[in-house]
Amino acid sequence: MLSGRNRPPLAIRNVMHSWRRSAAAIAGMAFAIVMVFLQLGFLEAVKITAAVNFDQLDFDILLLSPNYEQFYDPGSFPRSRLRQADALPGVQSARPLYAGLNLWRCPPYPLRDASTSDASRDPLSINALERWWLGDERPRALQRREMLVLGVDLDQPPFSEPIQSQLAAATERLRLRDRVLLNERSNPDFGWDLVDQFDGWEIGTLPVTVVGGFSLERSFGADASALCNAATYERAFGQPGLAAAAVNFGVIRTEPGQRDAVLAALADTLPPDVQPWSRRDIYRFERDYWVRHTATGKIFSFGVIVTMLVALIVIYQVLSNDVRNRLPEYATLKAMGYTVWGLGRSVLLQAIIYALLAYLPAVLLSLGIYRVTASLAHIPMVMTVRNLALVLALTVLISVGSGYLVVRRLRWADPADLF
Amino acid sequence: MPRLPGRSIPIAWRNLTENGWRLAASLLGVSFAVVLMFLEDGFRSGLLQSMVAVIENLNGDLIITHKGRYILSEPLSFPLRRLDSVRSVPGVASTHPMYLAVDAQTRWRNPSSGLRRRIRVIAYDPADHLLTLPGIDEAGDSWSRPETALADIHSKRVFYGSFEPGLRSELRGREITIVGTFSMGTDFRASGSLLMNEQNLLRYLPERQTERQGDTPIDLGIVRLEEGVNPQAVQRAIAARLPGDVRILSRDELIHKEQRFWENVAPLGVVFDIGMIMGFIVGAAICYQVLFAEIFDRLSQFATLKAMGYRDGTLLGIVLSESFYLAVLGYVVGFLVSMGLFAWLRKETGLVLEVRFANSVVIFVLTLVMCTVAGLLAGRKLRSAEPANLFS
Repeated sequence: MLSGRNRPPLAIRNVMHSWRRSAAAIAGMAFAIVMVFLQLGFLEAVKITAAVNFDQLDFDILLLSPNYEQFYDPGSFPRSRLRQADALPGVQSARPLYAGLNLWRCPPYPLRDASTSDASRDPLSINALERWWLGDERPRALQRREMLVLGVDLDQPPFSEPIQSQLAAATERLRLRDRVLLNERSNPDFGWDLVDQFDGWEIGTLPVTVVGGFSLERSFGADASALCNAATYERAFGQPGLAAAAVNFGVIRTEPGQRDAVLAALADTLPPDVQPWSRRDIYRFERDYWVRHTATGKIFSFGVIVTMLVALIVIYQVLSNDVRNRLPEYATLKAMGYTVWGLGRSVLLQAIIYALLAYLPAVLLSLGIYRVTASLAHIPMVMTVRNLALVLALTVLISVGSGYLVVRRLRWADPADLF
Repeated sequence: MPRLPGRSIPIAWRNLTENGWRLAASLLGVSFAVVLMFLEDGFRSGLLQSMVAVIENLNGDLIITHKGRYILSEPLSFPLRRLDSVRSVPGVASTHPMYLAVDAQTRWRNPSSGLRRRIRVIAYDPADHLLTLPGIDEAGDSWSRPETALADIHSKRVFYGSFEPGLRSELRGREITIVGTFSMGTDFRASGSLLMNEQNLLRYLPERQTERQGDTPIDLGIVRLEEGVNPQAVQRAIAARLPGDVRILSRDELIHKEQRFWENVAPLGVVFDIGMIMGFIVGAAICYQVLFAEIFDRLSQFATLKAMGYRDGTLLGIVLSESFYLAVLGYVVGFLVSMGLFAWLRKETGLVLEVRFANSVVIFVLTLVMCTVAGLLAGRKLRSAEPANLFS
């Protein structure tokens, strides 16, 4: 055996020696990894937006109608159930939340063109890139679009920060008739930027006044929202007496450590027209709905699987080409007395080096593409530690697996073939 | 294809097909990229398509909607009376009201679970034949009876249970019998649909009842034209007579408007465009790897040809022919695999997924470009095919 063959190891010398070829191979692998990241990011966006509304609610237990489908179609249950829940030992508070979709009268842009807005450019013909470029400045006509309307009892606000303090600051203004807060993060079409210049706001057919803002992430279910008191809410939905009769969400806070006891007590004492949910269960249920029962969720899940397969093929191709390239050298080494296993170790090591070298730029590139997608498509693209680890593990695993398949080729590296 | 003078050996083809396993592996790579592009494109057009399924199958020429109606699934109706003035416009054969309701109150009781799920209700007079969907004509006038409806067979079973003729349950707490099924499909906003006649709609959605019939809120006004008239001219004439709260569009204009909303405003277009571009790049990377391996393995043969006097250009031609064959074969395989996947996904998601001719042409061109670029890049390796190296 040759002395010092491991200093530096053959694998590293292989990578360094023909660095341009290595760079091409690594770039191929990196692109395949970026694809996987991209699809995982889309799927993650579906999961994140499923949770944004619950993130803003301050609860240990949520009361929901058995007809609850997802946040935007929650069903309702008798308000008296909240009083019953409030009376149970261990319950700190049981607060109502009303939620439903309704039409919002979106101001035209520019505002002064309101009368002739039809003459301005059709807002729908502006593509995503232009929308991003023009931002809030793109021309659009007066329109009515669907938004999420949240109604609360101002004396028992059910939110957590930051909405809780935003609501507290505006409470007295919201007590007046037909006053609302508009979500500052709504799609710009809903007119948050024109809040001081426009006064023709309506929810459904109810004229309202915007007295401030609050901040809630957009989601696949609604790209805008407004917040008002229960009385305004029932007027906006044209159902007087609604707020006193039925609520959509019962937001329950328990004494510390009492959650499970209260959960059991609620299930025991309340009739079957309402169901108690723990925080973990409702998050899981909602995520499950958006990932498994909506077309978007299914498509992105499927995209993850397909891109993983593609990544597998690319990585195998890259590694087997690389070994093929060096076959004469391997044959020489074999002739010099290296065992197939010794060479194999070096190939596997090289596969891991390639995997790591491809992974790092792929993460950086993915972060860039995430940002572009997030700002073009207005969906939260987040790189999670879980996805980082998952892709890293997959990359290394596929590389080692491909490396192993390739090593078997080395057996054919017959020194006699050299000439 | 480049041939040696005096002989006719299709070098590129033979190179590519020499080793069956290797060819299969190469094709697998290319066709996966093709499948990826088909999928992204299919998802995109499938989603856009499913959003306009109702309009696509409307049996009418012009459509009247409320002016502020941004997309069809957002409710904004106008009084039935608006259709009166349209009927007398020359060239108009008939006008028909149509109702589309998706609201939080309109819930179907799933007979197996007892849960009430929101469902879309479409309504018109059966005699008007406004929708041409499989199953509706077959149902005849069975749904003209009170408290009956037809159900979309593609409605999500987990939510509604399985719809069969004769099924009885409740809509908004009131009895209803399913007397037949039709085939339409789900979309972002509706997981299922019922079709019923006007009287039934007013029965189940009493908030639509008005004292005078002319005030009845309707969602769409369908206008049929007489044979041989110029649709644009009639459309202008109708627009001139209509008050400012409604607008009239041709079917294509309405489809276009709906799809542009989902493509541009709701961010679906971008998501799938980015996926498609990545598919293209990865496809080019795969193709490059395959061709590079091809060249590398035959470097000595290429060197021999060079020694015989062939120029680099001719050799590059061979590589490009190989990339062309690879593109065509990979495309065919990818196309067939995509068809199979689409059929499976159609069943799984209920989305309208189909391989459209125009898109398949675009994807074919993309595949050719992808492989040619890869061939040109890999072809640079040919320069290292030195005859002198043959015996080194």
